[in-house]
Amino acid sequence: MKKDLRIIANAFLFPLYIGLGLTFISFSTILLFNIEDNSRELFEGLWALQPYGVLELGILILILSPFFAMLGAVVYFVKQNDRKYALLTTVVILILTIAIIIGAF
Amino acid sequence: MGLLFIGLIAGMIGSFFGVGGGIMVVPALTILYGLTAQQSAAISLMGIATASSYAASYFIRRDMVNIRLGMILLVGTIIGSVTGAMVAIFIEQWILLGLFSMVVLYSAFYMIRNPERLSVPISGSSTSKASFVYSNRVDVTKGYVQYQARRIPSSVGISGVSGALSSLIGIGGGSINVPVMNVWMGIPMKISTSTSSFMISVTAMSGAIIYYLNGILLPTVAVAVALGMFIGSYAGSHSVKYFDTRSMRKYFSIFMAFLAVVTLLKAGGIL
Repeated sequence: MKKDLRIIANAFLFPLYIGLGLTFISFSTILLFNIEDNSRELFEGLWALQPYGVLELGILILILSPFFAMLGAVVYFVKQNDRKYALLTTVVILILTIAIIIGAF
Repeated sequence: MGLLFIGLIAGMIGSFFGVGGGIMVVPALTILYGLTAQQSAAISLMGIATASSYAASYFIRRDMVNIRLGMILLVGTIIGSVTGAMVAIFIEQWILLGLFSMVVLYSAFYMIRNPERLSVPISGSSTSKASFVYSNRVDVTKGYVQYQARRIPSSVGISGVSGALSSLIGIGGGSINVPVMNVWMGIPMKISTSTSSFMISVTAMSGAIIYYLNGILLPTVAVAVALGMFIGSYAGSHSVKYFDTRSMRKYFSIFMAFLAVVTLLKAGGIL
């Protein structure tokens, strides 16, 4: 049982480390070379490998790391054969997703 | 650099006293850097989401988090925090800052009184019938404790309020979650705090993402503060055993009251 808990813990940690790495690298590049913010669009900036694009991506991953953990929690409950809580977690994720979609507009 | 430092201090203090770093970040950003209440709340939430995600993974790995109960309460906090963030965008700054100082004053007061109810471990025979019985570890070194959660529906309601406050003013909400779980629901203290850190990470995320999507989160400032908070809380949680935080609590609560007053002055347009 305890081993399965690692699924959730790692679902927290992996995106966290990736996000921290991306933001740290892009942030120090911005500071070192004094780069002006010229592209506000996430994907445009990413395409051109602009530090600000990478920074935005890192921020998004950092913010969303608990979201990945919730996905991990569903896997955990399914593995535990705990249907009730797997369903509840799915509902929570759905609420979050709907809220994000509403919040974006 | 100053921003990184603010985050660092906030993260350390957060892990020392179990309060979200938001209590320091919001006043510092609004007063020293002239950001709006909403911008500061967004940055603070992002920092909290990062720092508490790390803490949550630490506690989950050690089976100290009641994920099931946390998930039930999250229904309340998420709805609250998403609504809170959407409403906050349209609210006047002084109202948010005033609300902030009131909540911080309450937390300072709570820290001095520091009530802790010892939950009654339930005896073996009655457990099979009762619902919402959980078992978690109280400490890394200690064994498992079985306990029953009471008053679940009303607690989900209170969680909604805590979630809304969390996104409105950029705090984690631990100062509300922990007493609700410990005193009201009868969850052991240690499990309450670690479950709260799990809930806070998700709550702060749902508030932060709404701010982010509305373009209120300033990327460079946010990253500086979040990196600082992450390092601070990492260092803090690994060095907390070398400090006597119990005796420091009183001084810290006085400092919190000071922050509340300063923010109130800012809200009134004096600072």
